[in-house]
Amino acid sequence: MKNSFVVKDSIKTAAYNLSTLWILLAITVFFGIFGNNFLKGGNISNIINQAGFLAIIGVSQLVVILTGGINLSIGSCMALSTVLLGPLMLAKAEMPFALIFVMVVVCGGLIGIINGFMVTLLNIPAFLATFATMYVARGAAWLYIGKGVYYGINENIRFFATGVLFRIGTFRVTMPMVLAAVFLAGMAFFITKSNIGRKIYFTGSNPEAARFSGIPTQRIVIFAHILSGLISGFAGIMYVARINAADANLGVTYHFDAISVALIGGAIMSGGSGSIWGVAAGAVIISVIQSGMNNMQVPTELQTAFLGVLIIVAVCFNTFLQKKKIQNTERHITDLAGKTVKGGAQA
Amino acid sequence: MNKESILRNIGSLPNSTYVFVVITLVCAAGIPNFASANNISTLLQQSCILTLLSVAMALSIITKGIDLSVGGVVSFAGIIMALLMSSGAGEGLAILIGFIAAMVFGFLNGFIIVKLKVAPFIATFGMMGIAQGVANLLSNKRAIYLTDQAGLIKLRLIPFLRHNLLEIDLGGGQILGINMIVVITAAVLVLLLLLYKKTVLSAYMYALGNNAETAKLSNINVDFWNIFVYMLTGLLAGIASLLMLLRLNSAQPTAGDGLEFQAVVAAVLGGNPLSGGKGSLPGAIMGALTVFVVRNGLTLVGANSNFIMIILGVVLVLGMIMNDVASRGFKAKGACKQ
Repeated sequence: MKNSFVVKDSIKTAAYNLSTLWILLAITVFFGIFGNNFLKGGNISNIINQAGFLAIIGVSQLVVILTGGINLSIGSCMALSTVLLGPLMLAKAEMPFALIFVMVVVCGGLIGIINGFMVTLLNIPAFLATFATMYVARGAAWLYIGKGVYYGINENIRFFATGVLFRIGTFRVTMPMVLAAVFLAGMAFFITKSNIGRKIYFTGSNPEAARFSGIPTQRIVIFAHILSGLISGFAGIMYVARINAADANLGVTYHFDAISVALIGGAIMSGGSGSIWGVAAGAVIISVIQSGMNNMQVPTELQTAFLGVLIIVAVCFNTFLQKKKIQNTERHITDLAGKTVKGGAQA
Repeated sequence: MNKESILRNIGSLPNSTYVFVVITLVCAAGIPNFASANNISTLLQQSCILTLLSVAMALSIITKGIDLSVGGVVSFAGIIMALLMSSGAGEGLAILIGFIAAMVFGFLNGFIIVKLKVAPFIATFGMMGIAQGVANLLSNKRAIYLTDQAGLIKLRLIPFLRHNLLEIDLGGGQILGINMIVVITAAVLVLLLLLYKKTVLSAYMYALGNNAETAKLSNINVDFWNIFVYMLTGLLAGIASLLMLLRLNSAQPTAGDGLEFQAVVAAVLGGNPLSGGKGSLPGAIMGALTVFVVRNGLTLVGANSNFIMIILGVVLVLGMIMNDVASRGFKAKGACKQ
């Protein structure tokens, strides 16, 4: 009797844990049936290619959400850091790729430092501080660039966002897929195995307890914001390389994309819960939805509205799942406790 | 009134009043055209929309929430009104439906926050996306003009609501005009302040913001009042969108973009700390006026609108620091009543 309960519970827990995958499966089947040529190799490779871009900004959001904050300035950060270094990225500047890459990423990190300081030292709630940065950074980008765009990006940089490595049938394995996979694997390792990664989780799940166990929570939060800024810089290069122009208008709605990717990936707003692989799955889901909506010719304007709905639904859903998980664990624990008590009485 | 009570009265004014006075004096002294009658008329007229929105923002902040969807609702309600008017529905009806649509958005905000227990900023942030998306969809991303070339649509109410009620010629081309927009705003604000001060609303809102649990135990219908506040916020955003329509003579799907940010800046500057349970509506009004004086002053000096955005961000941070220092100062003196 008891055993079957335990098995049932663990199956349930597994089902909850894999909830993102079930959603992915459901919508893929939906668009596969109702869409037009949706499940063809070419389209699938487009979806995964796009998901690679989304996953990067999703991770940028995740590291901040894990600490219990939020970063609304990702899109603006991408725009500002690439626009500032736009002249160097042009083909005619002939700068080495590695140097530009480092400079842009560092530039994103600097914006992250400002966010981090506002959140910790000035005690401004994360959403408001990053909300301010969102407008300030966008304004600065416009101010710097005036009305123009930097068009014609260095081919070496472009290769990282548009290069096709090889083909399997109509399925193209592209550079962004490989980059995103490597990046996700690296981040997953960093955030689950490294000392500082664990501290980020701990700080988010219970800041008081974390502080009392000697974790410098303020420094961890600042670090998370810097990391988020660095990743935003990286995402900025990828997007600029893809559209072949650095533009102050880059990613005006990416704060929506980033939040929805992270939330659908199972991150919880109060912090301490969420995983890199969840974000990857979330990115694929958003990408499938976007591609499916384009496929079914839903107007692009509706897609922003849809992301808004999705964010709210995802938050409710995650809270529900969290509650269920806790209930399950509690029942599990009481079950186990009952067993030991009984066992003790028999002995 | 003796000297001490005057001092105490001045001391209890919202912080933003001092900031407002100082900044206005600096602008008047330093910028040649600032204190002219023409400029003051435009300044008053332009600041109306933000004033309403910042009061709306203050309402939600006092109850420990925030409403980031006001900008989106301004665009959305404006599009609804303009579409109805240009399709031949009566102006009064169109405005009414616009207000109702804005209140429905407010209700949804409140419902998601209260019943589905989503954090206010994320719920209203999502609603902001929804409002912007629907506004773009309905308008096809184009501005909707109230007067077409053929002049087929005869509008009576709109021109009336837009005309200058009072014009005082000060000579030398300087005309001090009081616009109907200013009158509408003033009337709405007076009504709102009466509703706020003379009914239970303010007491309930402070109770909600301070400690929702205690409020519940004191038999306050927390859920109802919370949703009510968001509906009020939505209605104010709807009125702001009418003013936007009057001022631009057209509805644009991007009309409200960024307004929520300015409203937050104004409300925070007006002494509404985001921790909730504290704050004042007159403070928010002064905050909005301050923001507009800063914007107007910078524009007169020739600053770019993007530069103004940056300055506003800095002002927000300064406002937060000011609130922090002020509350600490009060606590140190033991003068904090709340």
